[in-house]
Amino acid sequence: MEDREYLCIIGPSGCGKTTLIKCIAGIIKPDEGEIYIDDRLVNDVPIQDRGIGYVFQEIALFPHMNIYDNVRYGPFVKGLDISSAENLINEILNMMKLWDRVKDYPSTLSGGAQQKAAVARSLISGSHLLILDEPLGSLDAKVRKVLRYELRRLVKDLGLTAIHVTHDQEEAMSIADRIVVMRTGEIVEVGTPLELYLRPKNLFTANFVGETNFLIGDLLGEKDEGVRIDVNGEILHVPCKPNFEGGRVVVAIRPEFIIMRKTSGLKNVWRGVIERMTFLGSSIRFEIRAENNVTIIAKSPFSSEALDWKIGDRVNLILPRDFLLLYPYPKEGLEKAISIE
Amino acid sequence: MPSIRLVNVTKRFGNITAIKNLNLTINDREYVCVLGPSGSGKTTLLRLIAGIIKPDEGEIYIDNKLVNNVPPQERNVAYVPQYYALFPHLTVIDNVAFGPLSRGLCKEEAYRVSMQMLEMTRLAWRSESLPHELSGGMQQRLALARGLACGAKILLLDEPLGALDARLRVELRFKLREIAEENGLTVIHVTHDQEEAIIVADRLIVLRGGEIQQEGPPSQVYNEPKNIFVAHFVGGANFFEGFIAETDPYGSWVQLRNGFILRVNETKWKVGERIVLMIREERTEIIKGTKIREEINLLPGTIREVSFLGDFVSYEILLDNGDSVNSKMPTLLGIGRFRVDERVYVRLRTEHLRVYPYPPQGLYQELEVI
Repeated sequence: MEDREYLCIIGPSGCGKTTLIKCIAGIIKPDEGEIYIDDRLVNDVPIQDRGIGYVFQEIALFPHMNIYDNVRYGPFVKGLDISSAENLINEILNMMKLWDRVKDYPSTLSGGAQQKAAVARSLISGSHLLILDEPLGSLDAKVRKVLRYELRRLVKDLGLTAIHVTHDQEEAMSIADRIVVMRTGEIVEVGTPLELYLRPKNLFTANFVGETNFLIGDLLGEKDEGVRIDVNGEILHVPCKPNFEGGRVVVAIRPEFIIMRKTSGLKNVWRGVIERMTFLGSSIRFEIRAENNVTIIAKSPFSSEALDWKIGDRVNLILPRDFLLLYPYPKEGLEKAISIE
Repeated sequence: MPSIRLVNVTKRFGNITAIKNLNLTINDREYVCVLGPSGSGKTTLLRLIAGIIKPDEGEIYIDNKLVNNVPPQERNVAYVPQYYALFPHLTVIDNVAFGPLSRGLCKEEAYRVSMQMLEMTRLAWRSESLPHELSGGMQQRLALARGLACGAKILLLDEPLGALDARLRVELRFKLREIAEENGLTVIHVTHDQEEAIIVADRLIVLRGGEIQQEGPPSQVYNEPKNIFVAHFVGGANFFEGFIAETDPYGSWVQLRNGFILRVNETKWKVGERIVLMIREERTEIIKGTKIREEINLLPGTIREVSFLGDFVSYEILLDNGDSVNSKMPTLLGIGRFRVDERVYVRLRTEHLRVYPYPPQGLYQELEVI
């Protein structure tokens, strides 16, 4: 991790993301390997000496202290001199817009406000590395969407480095500089949100970050700058050469990149019938059964054209070549390879 | 024939009225979502229908039979609570068989039905496992299988996906609907997640402070929210404070902060009336600000922030009059198109602007989420 980076760690339950940050924080010790913080080996350094602020999912404010005393606790315990501690406390409380609630007790605050107080408390210790374990996990969906930006803004304004663990990949995409994808104790991929979204390096990431269509096919041969794939009878032209061996492949494309038309004559056009339509708010999701009997998901932003479609309509699906990704067919089978359980 | 009917139902806890004079009809085989923030009364509503608590006023009918005094086990509803309450000491199949056995089915029949439910929820291969050995998603399916095994045609789900990973939630939403459709069930699914509710419901019921704010098909509630709360809670909305400056037979002119003017299609407002305008984030358009443009509903501003959301990109624009606008567009169109600090115009088409009366306690209070 780099200084001042906002890093998010995502992955299914049980993938090890919480274990990882507990190792970094010093709550548990690794069995093998070394952890360095600012080039200093910290394997045997106790938690309180690692210079880390930790925010728990359950918020964990002291219920018998008001907000001010909760936030003041760290420096108070550490014996910082009163006046500089107070200045810092006031600054943080102002920044978190909690100034008018300082005399109140945690139970009288909303979940979101409590979480802000918890973050303020962790910041006050003067640590430059903030570890956040599902910091928004106990909050309503709507509150999470608003608070996540405040969290990032605060970290950036204070010039801190943050590791933020979350199960919500949309949350990670919207605020991370880089995202670490984990699965069963291993890092599967690391990249910027855009990289993971446009060019995921493996099938699991493609499935875990956003929705993806997976088309199983056979490599037919090379053509022009790419290869031709047979997907259950329909041909796809993918503009890149595979860097792996073997004939069985998986072609991936996100539903929102597929274009739906009444008529078309271009390459990579599949014909099909709309079987299902789901209203998603700002977009509409279509399930289309193509002529080769493969079901394709397409997503269209909400518009009058999108509304014209009806179940049973025949549609031409354009699969733009630039958004087709090619992967070797996984040894363990596709379902196991992308499974998030 | 309607499955569930609530008539003038009120429920109090001490001096808090959790449900206020509620009237609701849910039809046979409908998949209904009750959507609302924490504390809106959605769990109370479910428990009233299940029979776990009794209303202080009003009547509840299930299949046209008055059930106010009918205990839960005789109401023929299956209730799946938020944290499942799986029996930790029983195997998967024994958990599922519990219901049918309690209802008096013979062992053979009870286990046959249970196996069927487990096959439907793809858990048959784990029938001998204990709940703690299962992943979160499997536990959810187990809770569902257990609820279904009772044979009840009405399923009450309290935040059924709440304890799951975001990604798993997306996958299992569709599964829930499938199972409901395949078995001809009537479902009341309670949630605080509007994205989930919109996708899964035949009909959406928005609850706040124990009162129904709006009900209808998701697309209707989304596109025609009746009040500011619904507009804000369901989907992403931009709000502008202003007042009616002029009206004519075809529409009105609204004056926003610091003199900006917008044209709206509504005619029912009086000049001078204080109002709030709403437009959905994805209905706004951003135009590059290279020339001075004189057009109605085209407001100048500066890009303040870009947010990447996966299939959508969101731009936050500070308009020259001090108001803020969030504009959402598909990643394909929007990524890399505008930079922070770039000067732009925002188009707010008249047909996408909705007008609401200014809330008496103030706009910020009404929208308060945190």
